[in-house]
Amino acid sequence: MRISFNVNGQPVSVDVEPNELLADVLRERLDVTGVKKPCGTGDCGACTVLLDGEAVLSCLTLAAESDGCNIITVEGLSKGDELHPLQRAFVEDGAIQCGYCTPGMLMSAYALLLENPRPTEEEVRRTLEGNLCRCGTYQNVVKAVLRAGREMEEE
Amino acid sequence: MKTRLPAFRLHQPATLEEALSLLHGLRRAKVLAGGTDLLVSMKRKGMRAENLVSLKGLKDNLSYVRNESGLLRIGAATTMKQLSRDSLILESAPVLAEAASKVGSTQVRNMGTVGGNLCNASPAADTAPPLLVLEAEALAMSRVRERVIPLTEFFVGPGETALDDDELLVEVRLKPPTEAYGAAFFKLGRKHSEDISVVNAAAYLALDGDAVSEARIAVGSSAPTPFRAFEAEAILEGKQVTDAIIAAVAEAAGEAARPITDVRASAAYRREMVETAVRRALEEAYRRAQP
Repeated sequence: MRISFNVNGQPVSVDVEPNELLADVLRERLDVTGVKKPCGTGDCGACTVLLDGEAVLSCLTLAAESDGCNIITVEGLSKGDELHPLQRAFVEDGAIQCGYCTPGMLMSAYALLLENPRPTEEEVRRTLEGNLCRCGTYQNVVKAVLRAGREMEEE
Repeated sequence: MKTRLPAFRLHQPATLEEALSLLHGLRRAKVLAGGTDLLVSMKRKGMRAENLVSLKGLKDNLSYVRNESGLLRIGAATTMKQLSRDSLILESAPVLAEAASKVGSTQVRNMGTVGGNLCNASPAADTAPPLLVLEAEALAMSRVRERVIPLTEFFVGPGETALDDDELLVEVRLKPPTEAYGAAFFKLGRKHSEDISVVNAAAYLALDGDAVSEARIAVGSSAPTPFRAFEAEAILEGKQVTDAIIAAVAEAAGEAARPITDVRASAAYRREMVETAVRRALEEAYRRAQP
């Protein structure tokens, strides 16, 4: 079946099988490899993308169900070479070690800040509970998200 | 690791009538709502389905919270996120919002629905204990009939509901309590979050002066289905709430449990934790029942 949706502001059309997952279509058919797929079963959150403004697990979303949707991945955060304040904060606050969980962390954080520009630390921790990090960057991720929120408010 | 889905035919009805027609005509089609249980089962647990009927096209019809003629009506496609924030639910059935806010993770709550949580019928379903103590009912529809199933009769076994193959759960409904009461939900997981309950429980307490006028206790993840602990409830009837009574009630609930040993916990641990969960839920419900 043919589906059409927006990925990071670009309209895209692709033929998919019913059982193809959004994560796989983004990564393998559209070369949007910022979406990571460590677990494939919705436990780690690294595959998180924004679908019509909400953070969802692309490994548990059928591509066929994304017709007409607006999808934002980590590639959509930066504007050309200019990093998003969240990305800058992650880099500066040491919130990235191996980087594998980072796209998912960024997308979850981005979704949070869109809805709640001034989250408390508790709210950040609660919101990101579905994003796991084996390197243990959590403390710095939380710091970076709080700082980015403050910066984005000032902009 | 199997992270791809087996092949299936996907049906995307645009109306409820179309969906019910499809369910009637297809052999044992699976219903797809949020996909957070179904797709995991298909990837990890070898679940197969020739046909999936997606409720995405019915999202608008089946995603609602309404108060109509004294009945709180919740569309089956309402997400956990919506349940946890809806003002009607927060006002008249907050224990349901409490439970919904503890399901999975933010992403899972954005995707997962109350209908899916109930129809997946895991004994650990977090919306089951609160809905059971609120004496909720399920509205099931098929092409040929419509019926209301009390939630106490909805769960038949692990992963099994009372729904026929061609029936769709379209709504969950309950009478918002009119008496002064307190209700609470307790979830024990291995972590603080993003976990399937090891044990969960909900308690509902209404007081008449100092004495209990209504007590309801529901326990999950410790028997083939979530269940109301009726014998435990009876201990509270007409009594004043004391630590000793709560302990007796918790013990009775533990005795009613039939837990299994699985990857998350042993049966013995679960039985002990049922007592803890019921005690904590009762204590909190009692606090909330204070004027």
